[in-house]
Amino acid sequence: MFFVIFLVSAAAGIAGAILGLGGGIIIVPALTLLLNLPIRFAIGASIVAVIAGSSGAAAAYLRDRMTNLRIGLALEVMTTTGALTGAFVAGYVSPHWLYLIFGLLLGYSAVALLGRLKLELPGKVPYDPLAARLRFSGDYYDQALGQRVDYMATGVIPGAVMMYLAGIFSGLLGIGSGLFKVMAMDVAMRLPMKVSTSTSNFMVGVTAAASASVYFTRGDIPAPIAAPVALGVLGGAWFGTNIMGHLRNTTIRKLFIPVLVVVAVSMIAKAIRSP
Amino acid sequence: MKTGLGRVAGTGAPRGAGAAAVDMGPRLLVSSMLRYGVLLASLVIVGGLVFLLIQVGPRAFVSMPRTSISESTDLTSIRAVVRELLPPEPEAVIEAGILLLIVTPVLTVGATAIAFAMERDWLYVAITTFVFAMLLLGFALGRATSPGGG
Repeated sequence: MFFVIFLVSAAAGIAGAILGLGGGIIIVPALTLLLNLPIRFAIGASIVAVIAGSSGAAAAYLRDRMTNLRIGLALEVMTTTGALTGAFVAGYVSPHWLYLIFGLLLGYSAVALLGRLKLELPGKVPYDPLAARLRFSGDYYDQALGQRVDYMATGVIPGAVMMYLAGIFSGLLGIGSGLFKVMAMDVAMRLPMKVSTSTSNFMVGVTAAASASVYFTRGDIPAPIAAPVALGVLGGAWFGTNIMGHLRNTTIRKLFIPVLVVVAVSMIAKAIRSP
Repeated sequence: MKTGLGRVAGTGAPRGAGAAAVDMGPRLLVSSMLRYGVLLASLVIVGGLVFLLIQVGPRAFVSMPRTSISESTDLTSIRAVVRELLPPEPEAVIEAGILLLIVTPVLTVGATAIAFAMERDWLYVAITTFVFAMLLLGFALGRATSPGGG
């Protein structure tokens, strides 16, 4: 059992590091369906997983200049505000509509992503004065392409709105904000895919840390589960960060689409099933 | 490319020769704080597991989550964890590692605000401070709203 949790967490850590997700999408179903753990411990475990995976991966990506610290921190203004908004409105909004809205949003993102499947780098994007004011630009060395890539963000306002929504969602339901963060940066702000996933990697850990205290004080993070999860995810994240640099942006997009479709469908199904 | 830490970046040209130095200070600070935070946390967790192995033996790992799964942990505050550390209990050592893991990103954001201040990048000092304040507010609300907390 201990080693099963460790292995599941390692797989989640690898996937999370490459796709910019927290890994809750993998951890929660695996622990509840495969191992029959109660849902509250599964969610507590996924919070630990998100923080461990994010911190482990972001440390490497920041050193490799792939994570854009400015973009991450500035957008974190929107997600943390959204998360607190979500916590406030939690009693007034029915999760039914939320699942439906976010399911449809993710479905739309999957379609938008399909149109960009062949796109390795965004190239020249429309000039956005707000992006210039906030200095949302940077460069990184792409190991797969063997060249330095310069980039500049566009569409800061739509990206920020999506980030705010992502924050509300994670504040209300505690899951899935990594997907929206990557989508906001890739589809709206048109950053290179690797910059989107690695910046999201940094961001999800910060957002999760804000809500972690709730779960910790509730006793939802017992040591017997948290220990294998934390160590497994850290190992997986270390492994994943070493692979990710060598993948092409288009490959990462291709890996992303099935995840997006599965989550979109399961959310819409939840919306239809719940009263 | 070797450039010193500190105020190399400034607000100068983002392109060309100086490009490698943009955000160098804050970026390396965040990178190493996360790395050492995570390293320390995992060492403490491994320490707790080794401790468990010594105290209970290998069977602790075979049955591990099963035996204790029925109830949530009562180590729900920093004070409770610290209390159980003297004399040390394996579970409290592991929970201390988890706590270290949770505070790592929060402290990192706080330190980043200071790093931006050292580069006189006031816009990002404001942005980072705001995020740090929201995180602390989240912690405060978390303690206030959780049933067993406080």
